[in-house]
Amino acid sequence: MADLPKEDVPIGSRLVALTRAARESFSPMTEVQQDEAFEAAVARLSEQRRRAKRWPVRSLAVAAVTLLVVGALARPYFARPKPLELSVEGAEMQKDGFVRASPEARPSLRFSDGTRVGLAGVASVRVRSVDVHGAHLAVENGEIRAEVVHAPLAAWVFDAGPFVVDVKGTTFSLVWDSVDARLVVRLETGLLAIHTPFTPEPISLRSGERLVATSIDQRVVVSALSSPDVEGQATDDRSQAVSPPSPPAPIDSSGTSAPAVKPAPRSGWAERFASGDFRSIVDDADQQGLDAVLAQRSLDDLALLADAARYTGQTAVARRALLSQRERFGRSARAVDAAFMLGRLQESIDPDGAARWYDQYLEEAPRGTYAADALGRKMMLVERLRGTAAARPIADQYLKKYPRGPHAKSAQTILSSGSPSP
Amino acid sequence: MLHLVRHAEPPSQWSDADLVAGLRRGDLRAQRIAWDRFAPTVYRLAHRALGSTEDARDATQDVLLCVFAKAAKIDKPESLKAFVTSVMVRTLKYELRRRRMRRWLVLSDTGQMPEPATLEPDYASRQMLRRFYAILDTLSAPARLVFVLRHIEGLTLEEVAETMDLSLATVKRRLSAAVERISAAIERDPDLARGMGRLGGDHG
Repeated sequence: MADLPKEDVPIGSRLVALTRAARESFSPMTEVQQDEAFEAAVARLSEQRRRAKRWPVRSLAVAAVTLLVVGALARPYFARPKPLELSVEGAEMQKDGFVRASPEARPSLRFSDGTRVGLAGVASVRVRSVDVHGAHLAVENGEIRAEVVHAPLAAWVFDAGPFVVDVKGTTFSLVWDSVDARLVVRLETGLLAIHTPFTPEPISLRSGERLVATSIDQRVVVSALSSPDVEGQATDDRSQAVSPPSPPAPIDSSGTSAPAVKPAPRSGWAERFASGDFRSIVDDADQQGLDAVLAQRSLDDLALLADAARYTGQTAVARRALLSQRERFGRSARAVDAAFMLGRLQESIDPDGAARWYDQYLEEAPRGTYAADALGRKMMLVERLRGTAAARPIADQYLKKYPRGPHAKSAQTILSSGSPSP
Repeated sequence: MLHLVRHAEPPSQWSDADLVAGLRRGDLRAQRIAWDRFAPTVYRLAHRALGSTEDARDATQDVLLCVFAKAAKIDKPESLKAFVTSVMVRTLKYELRRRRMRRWLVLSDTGQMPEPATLEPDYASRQMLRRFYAILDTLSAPARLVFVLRHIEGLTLEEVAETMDLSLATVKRRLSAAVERISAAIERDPDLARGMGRLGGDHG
């Protein structure tokens, strides 16, 4: 075994001097550089995710083509999987696939994977198709109760008028009133996705939830099954089941109590934002027409759009979204924050304007979240625009209010530089 | 509210467990706090190891993005700092190897890398540091990191071993070889020897 040095090898004074110089050459990032670096990182993360989303699509496409070719070649050697077998108990299935319940009979459909669909009252169901992984049923009218057995590739579809319920494996009941065009789904276990013609994305229903949707007035109400009041609204008093018009419910990032009413349409922007998919939010706003979005969307959506636009470098869109927040939502907390964000956006293109926005923010929220940053940034802008002497009173004010704030070091530098010698 | 809030909550109020949970969720607030907590250290070490402001910024971003993306792999919240350190060392090694490869493949007219954008105030000091980092460029990535951690960052031998995930014996061996090689290169460089007076090392 080679001899090992017991301690460090002593280094010569030249090397000591060089390492000291290397150490002293380092300057930490300033607050502004930190902010910029972080925002650049967030934008890069978003871009990486966007690309990562594309990659599976390409991979899947290649895989699908490969499978098709291999499948076609191998077809003669393998038996085709058989579709599920269906038997109807308590009634006969008609030639057109209809199964109807009657006061005397409550038929049920039994599938070979164990799935069972029972018909109640005078329900009428049409079997559209049955395949290897599930079936496509249309509920023409009335109530059904389904116990769908979960399987990895299970795919069950229940139509009810304009609504489509996607099922993997759950137990639920579904009532479709074709006269009032009203759907009620009660989910006992599992997860359902319900597509409606007036929500851009499917509505996820979880265990213990109920959904009531009426297509005439395009309303969707989701409530807990255990909630007797809403149960009454949903089932007995239809005039109250309809929720009043309201902006999309705010997404509570803290994960606390979900709102009882899920208004339609939901933008899905909060989910996309949380996953870092900023670009698609801005694209979505563009596609829907930015003017309309700014005029109609909720305060939450405008805030999400402004942030998404900032992180993707689309400052013009961000600015308009922030201005819209202030115009439409007065002095709400978020509209006040928008003043600070507008200052941030304008710093590089209109420092005077940015300083005015910081003043505005400080006037509206002297103790707000961004107050220290707004005062510090204003101080730096004033120094840049009007010189150190003009920035000195602000630096003084800053240090009195925020002696350990993020701009304290800059404030001290301003106060000490160019001050008259004693 | 999903605004990116700066200084909304003092980072100290977030425990490592909170931070890891937030990073796993992709929570932007957690990412910001992780950034504020770790980026300054990562940037400082990257700057000292790479000798370039731009490269140090890029490396800092690479390290933190990797931490954000792989937060799910952190087994225990208390190992967050160690996780960041391991990502940092891996990233710096990768960057140093990439540089060496680039030097072999795309040499400039002088056979040297472009001048790093360091922040030293005067030209002579900058030249000295440039030559010093050119010498460091001749070391392997692990040897360079061991040297930087010990003699520029000022870690103890034990801390270097822990950071690099090496045995103490390996650290000592690599450090000894690195110092010997750097010292010899300094002695062989007349310009560097001449310029040492400015840095206070002219009698070595």
